[in-house]
Amino acid sequence: MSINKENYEMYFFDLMEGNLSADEEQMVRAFAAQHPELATELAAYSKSVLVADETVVFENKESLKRKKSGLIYLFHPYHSVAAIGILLIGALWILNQPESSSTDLMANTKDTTSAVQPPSTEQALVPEITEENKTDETLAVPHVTYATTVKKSYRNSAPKRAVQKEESASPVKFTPVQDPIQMAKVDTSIIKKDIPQIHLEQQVEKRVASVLPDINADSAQVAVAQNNQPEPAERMGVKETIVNKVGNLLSYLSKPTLKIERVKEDDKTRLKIQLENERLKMMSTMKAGL
Amino acid sequence: MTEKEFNNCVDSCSDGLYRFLVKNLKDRDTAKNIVQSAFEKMWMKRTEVQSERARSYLFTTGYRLMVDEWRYQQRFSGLDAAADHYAEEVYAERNDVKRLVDRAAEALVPEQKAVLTLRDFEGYTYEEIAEITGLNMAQVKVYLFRARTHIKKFIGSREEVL
Repeated sequence: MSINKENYEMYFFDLMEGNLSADEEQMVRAFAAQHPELATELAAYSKSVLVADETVVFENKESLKRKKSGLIYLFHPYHSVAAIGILLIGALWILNQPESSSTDLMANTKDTTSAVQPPSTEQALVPEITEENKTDETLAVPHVTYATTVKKSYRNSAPKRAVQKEESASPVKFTPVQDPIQMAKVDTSIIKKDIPQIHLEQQVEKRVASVLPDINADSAQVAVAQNNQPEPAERMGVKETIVNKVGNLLSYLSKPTLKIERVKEDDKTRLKIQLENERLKMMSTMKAGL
Repeated sequence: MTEKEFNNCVDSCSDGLYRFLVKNLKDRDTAKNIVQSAFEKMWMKRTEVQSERARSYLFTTGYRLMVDEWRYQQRFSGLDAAADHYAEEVYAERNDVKRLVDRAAEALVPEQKAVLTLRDFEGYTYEEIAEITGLNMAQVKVYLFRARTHIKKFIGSREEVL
């Protein structure tokens, strides 16, 4: 494609930009020489270059540079001060936290015994141990049933079955409990993580309470209850150990439970959601009774 | 990119980026802020940015921040007065031809002006300009052609200069 008066501007532009080959450049210059009236335009193109003002410089380049400093470099010194302050406050807060150990059962038990007032209903469930009951210090292991609910797939049309697991290692059994969270059909995905899936029903609590005062088995039963570990000869020690075992179990179960009930009032069905810690109260009652 | 390479980049690139931004924004304070932001972003991304690509990264970041600033300025007409004041300041200091070119460039649309300054100030190729601005190469060439044709006509109308 040759240069003409229709397209000369693009050629002049390419010449000025350096986009042309040597032959094309010679062709454009010859065209400009043949058309003096266009030569001024070519000169104007060559002057259309912006020239940077070298006097315009970014002052204080040091503010942009990075210097070797501590572990963390923050853009502004005030940021560093603020970060250090936050870390110090956090460290002090952590150090000032009261020490609490979930494994220290007896310490917790003592605290809760004095702090929590057992409800009247719970008191009625646990018979008090009188001096007559304490005559025989040979204690029987409470034989409470324990069951876990095995959830079947929803695709399976068969009804859910509660599988009774006889725990040979553990002397305690749980009754099957239908998950109230599932019954309520509400979105409890967050709560479910914190709430234990196994709930000790009130009837089980009654059974535990009713069995405890009748503890009068011989030492062989006690040995079975305590994972076949040999017991010391002193019977006082056996009693204490059993109490601790029961206390351990109830302490584990003393996590907060979520109860969801449907309450019908004036032809309206309402969901009653209750977060409580009855296991802890139960344990306190039993501990006080023993 | 190491700390030393970053600091070397500050020495070699900050002036060019600052001039590019001042020319297009006509506001030195805003240009300074954008330069600081661009270097800050590059420091944050120093593990990903190679030293030989640092200049391109800075201009790309600076261009994007400048576009944001253009959009912001469009909402406030009061900023135009400050820009005009800066332009008069610059023209008074330059000789005649350069002053005419600068004045002609002020009339360009922002995208054309940005492409022209990248080409003339920094000597970027069409491909590099396309990468920085996000345009394709054909658009870059068209913007450059329109910008130079506009300046050529502006200069040609003042015969006394030529």
